[in-house]
Amino acid sequence: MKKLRFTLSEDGKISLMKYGLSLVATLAVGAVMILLQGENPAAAFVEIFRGAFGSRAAIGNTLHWAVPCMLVGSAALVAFKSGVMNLGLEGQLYLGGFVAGCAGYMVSLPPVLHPLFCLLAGGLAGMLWAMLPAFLKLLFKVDEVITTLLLNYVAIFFTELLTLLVISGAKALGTNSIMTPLIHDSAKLTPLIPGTSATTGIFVAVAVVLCVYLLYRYTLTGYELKQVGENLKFARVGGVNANKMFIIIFLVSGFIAGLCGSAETIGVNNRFISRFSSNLGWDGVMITRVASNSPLGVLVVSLIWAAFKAGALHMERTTTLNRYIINLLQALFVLFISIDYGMLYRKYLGWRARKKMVEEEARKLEN
Amino acid sequence: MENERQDYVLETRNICKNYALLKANDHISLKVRRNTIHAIVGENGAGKSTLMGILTNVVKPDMGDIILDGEKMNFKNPMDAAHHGIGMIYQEFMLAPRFTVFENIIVGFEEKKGVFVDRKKCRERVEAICERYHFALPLDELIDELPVSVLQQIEIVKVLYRGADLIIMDEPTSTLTPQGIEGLFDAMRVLKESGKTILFITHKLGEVFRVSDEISVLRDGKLVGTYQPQEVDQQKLANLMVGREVILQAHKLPVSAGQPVLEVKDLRVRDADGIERVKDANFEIRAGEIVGIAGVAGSGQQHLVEALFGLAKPEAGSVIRYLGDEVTGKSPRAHRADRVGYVPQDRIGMGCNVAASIWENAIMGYHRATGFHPKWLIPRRQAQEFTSRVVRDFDVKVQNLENHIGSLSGGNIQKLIVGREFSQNNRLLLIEDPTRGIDVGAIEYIWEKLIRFASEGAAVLLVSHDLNEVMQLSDRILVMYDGRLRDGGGHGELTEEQIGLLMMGGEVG
Amino acid sequence: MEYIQAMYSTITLSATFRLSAPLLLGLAGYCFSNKAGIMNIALESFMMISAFFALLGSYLFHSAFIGALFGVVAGTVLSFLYGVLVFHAGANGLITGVGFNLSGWGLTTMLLVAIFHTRGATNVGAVSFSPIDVPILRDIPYLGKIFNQQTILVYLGPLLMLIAWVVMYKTPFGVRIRAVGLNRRAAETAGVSVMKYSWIAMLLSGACMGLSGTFISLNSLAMFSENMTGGRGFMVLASAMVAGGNPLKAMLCGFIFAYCDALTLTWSGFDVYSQVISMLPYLAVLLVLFLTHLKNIKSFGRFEAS
Repeated sequence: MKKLRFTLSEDGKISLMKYGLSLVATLAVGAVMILLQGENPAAAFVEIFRGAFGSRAAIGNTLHWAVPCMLVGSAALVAFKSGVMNLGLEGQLYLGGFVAGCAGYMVSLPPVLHPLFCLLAGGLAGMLWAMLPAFLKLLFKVDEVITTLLLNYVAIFFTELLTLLVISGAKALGTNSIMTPLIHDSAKLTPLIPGTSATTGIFVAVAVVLCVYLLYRYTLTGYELKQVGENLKFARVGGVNANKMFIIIFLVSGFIAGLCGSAETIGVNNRFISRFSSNLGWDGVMITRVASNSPLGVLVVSLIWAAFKAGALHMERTTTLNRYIINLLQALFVLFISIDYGMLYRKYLGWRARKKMVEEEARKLEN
Repeated sequence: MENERQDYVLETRNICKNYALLKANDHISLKVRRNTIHAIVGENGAGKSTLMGILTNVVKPDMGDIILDGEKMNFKNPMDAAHHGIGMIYQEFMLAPRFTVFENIIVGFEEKKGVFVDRKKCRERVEAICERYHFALPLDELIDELPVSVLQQIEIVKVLYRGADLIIMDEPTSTLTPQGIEGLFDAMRVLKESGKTILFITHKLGEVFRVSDEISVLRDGKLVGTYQPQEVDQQKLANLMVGREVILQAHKLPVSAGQPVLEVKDLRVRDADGIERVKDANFEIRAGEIVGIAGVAGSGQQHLVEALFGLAKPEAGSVIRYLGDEVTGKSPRAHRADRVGYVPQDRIGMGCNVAASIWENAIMGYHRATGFHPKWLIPRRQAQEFTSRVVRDFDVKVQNLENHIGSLSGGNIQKLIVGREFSQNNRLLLIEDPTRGIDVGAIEYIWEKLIRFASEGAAVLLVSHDLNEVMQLSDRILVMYDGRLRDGGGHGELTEEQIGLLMMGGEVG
Repeated sequence: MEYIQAMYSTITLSATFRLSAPLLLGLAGYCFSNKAGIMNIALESFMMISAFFALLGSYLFHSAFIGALFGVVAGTVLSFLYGVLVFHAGANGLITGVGFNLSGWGLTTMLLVAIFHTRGATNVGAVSFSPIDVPILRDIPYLGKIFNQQTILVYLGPLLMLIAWVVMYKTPFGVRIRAVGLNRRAAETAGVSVMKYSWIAMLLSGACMGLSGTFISLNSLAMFSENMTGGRGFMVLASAMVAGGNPLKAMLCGFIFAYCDALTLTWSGFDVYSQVISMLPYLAVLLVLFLTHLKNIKSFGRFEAS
């Protein structure tokens, strides 16, 4: 019985304002920066677009980047939707990547089974790593923000160390060359479009996003997770066990982050390479923020994010600009998005109403 | 003119303050004589706190003037008000934990020596004040471990240190023991004798008559009048405070009380600060009965209900039995599974999730207690069926079940919350302020549903700050005063004035 | 055995003193934020961006002190922007912090490539601070080796911490800022503007992180590389949290973490995986956090999500 309505609700207006203003502001900042570097902003954006969608290889690149974006975006979503600050995605991702790398070359399994096994193993590793801050918080009330942040650094060195122990090779030759042996062919994710870097990993990623979507849309646990995040007191009064939810959040979030690391390892690098992530974990936080914690939103935003990643590399090759400007603009966009436009709007309305009322009272007194 | 200046230390003229739809202060013109203890009494929500906020400039008035010592004041900020000699002692102490007593007293008003705090000079001043007004304070101890009566004294010394001549005390006795109250009254008299003026906000009538020189009554944001203690008695004062036109009449059905559903024995609850908020509560509720708890806000009702629902932990020795089984200290989740419903007072903070849709709000509690098939899913159809039932039975005006609950009016949100708890076959319902801040139509509707709900065999504990509501709906009335439950008789046994008197600590002869 | 010897060698201790500077310089400002109840994970970006600008300032004007000025100004401007977003625009502090940290990484790396055409700039012609030879200190046998021949920034660290301690506990400003963190409403009723003091604390932390960023890029060797701060901003945060904002306790934490940092330098020559050593500072922070929270085990089950 829904009627089609063309007027926007208050919420709709505010979110339109939010995304619109943020986009305009970010583009403006970006244009100025590109101009300062002596390039034409329009041309730069065209190059980005071309790099993301301009050819078969470009589309392949975008799809290839979409895999980690979707996965780590979902991992962040699970945590942030429930108000848990898991800033340790980066670390969980490294553990996942390392374990998947080991599973890829140490174990022999038939083709389809092998990648699945690697993904599962990597996911579990990420999950275990995420348990650490979860227990520190639950048992000792150590703030999960600081522990997850620091564990990211520990994870980088820890996986490097494990890699060295596993390959029992000579001492470090310099951090950039630390890697596990190549994984078996059976463990690799199959290429999706021949001649490009797109793999079947995209199916895994989409499946995970869909699972997260279904979790929140139809299951009891998803319902409770959402309520805990939006109003903890309400959830507790309704009989939700908040401690249990907290553990579940970290388990699921860590597992998906681990999956992301695994997918990078067996789908892109074909081995675990230390420091491969270059802030992927943080992309997740940004993606879920831009998607306003909506699973399907993560799907869309991840594609955009991936397009920018693929496009930025292309832009770097064809112009004098470097790709870090895109990283910067993405982060700036997140900053603009995180402004509470609704609050500012309400403040403005309240201020206007008060002014009006005082004027009326003054008029009444005069008469 | 000169005489008047001497006479009144403080005068307010036509103070108005509106909050959204509520007129918190409606043209209040109050006069306070110098060198007196002036009591300000009124029910919760009568506008006392707002008025005091305006005097101290924590709240900005919409209009009106404050005249201090015959001079019209135009305070810029709370500091400005403090510098003009207005000091406030809040009901909830404004003390910083992990600060020493001394630091708490001087903060914001430190004596300076160059850029440093002149501790010596500050200390001398604080000690002089303590000596003059006979306070013995452990200045160097951290305040964390000190008893409440000492905290109160710290607050008094603090306002004196800040040079207050007019001291506002907001329900200062609410957390004190009888001995502590004695001490406080002594201190108040000493302050008065040494030339200070005290505004004493309370709703405990006994105390009003013991210390005050004048009494002002506020009701519904308006000043009813200022009286001498000789010209009124407790009963008259209670009438002035609570007397309100009864617009609504509930239609009570005759009930036959069945089995005891809830039995409470020696229930004691402490709050986070360790203060005993519920003292030896004993009562039972039978199936089919509505037991109402009347009382001024903050008398311990909140803690009582929280303990009953497992949100707060009762003290050892307390016993709560539900259908004969002991359930003391069980979690809210367990209570839900046992079919205990709860409508919290804080509608927005606890009763619903404003960021979620109507159906998500409607199934909370139900999703665990009754649930759907299969158990771990929330099938849309079943959720919508349940929600539609609540919406239909409780006449909630909604357009679409997917809409945010925040888009509904307060009355409709409350109908949905109440409806949710009524529709789960609960055997016991704990319900707080079911009709606060909603329109008359919705109130009538909820009342009728509540009465029918009980008559179908459920037990209801109704906690309300609206005395009329308790009296209209309850089969038995309990009155909570200072953490203790007092007997308020059966339905219609006592008059509104008599119960009002009980609520304020008076005795019904 | 040589490990043990290295643990108290003058080289290690001297490195400890040196490496304490970025932590102490930042802590001198952030302790006030911590006391005022502000949790700020954007410190990392303050440090990183001001490190870059310090290098840039020094590169442009061939003066380390102008570099430091650039660093401090950059840090202050960043803290101002952060403050506007969090105090006035209703943005979530943590998300804003993540946004800042990523912006910091993006901005510095972009500018690095755009200006110096490299992802790791050394020998670009920027002037760094040079070690000071202190006359009397030089001749004291053991201590001289540890404390002498450091740059001014290194000496400034403990000095600022001591000043911070005095300000925190001996001045009206300190008393008020602590009151703001402990009970906002009480502070407000005492006429202490929470907003004003939060702002001062915020800008102070920005300026001090600017100094600490300056150390990162301009101490003895003028250089900057991608992600050069390596989580030191988070260590500042953790130190202040462990110390509860008390500058003296925070200084102790700073020295402990700097010591672990120093060990990574002196042990790296030995036959041990460098990764084990590199993990030490972070593990030390985690261990200290764990130990200081041990007493909370009793309250298990009373979890409240933040």
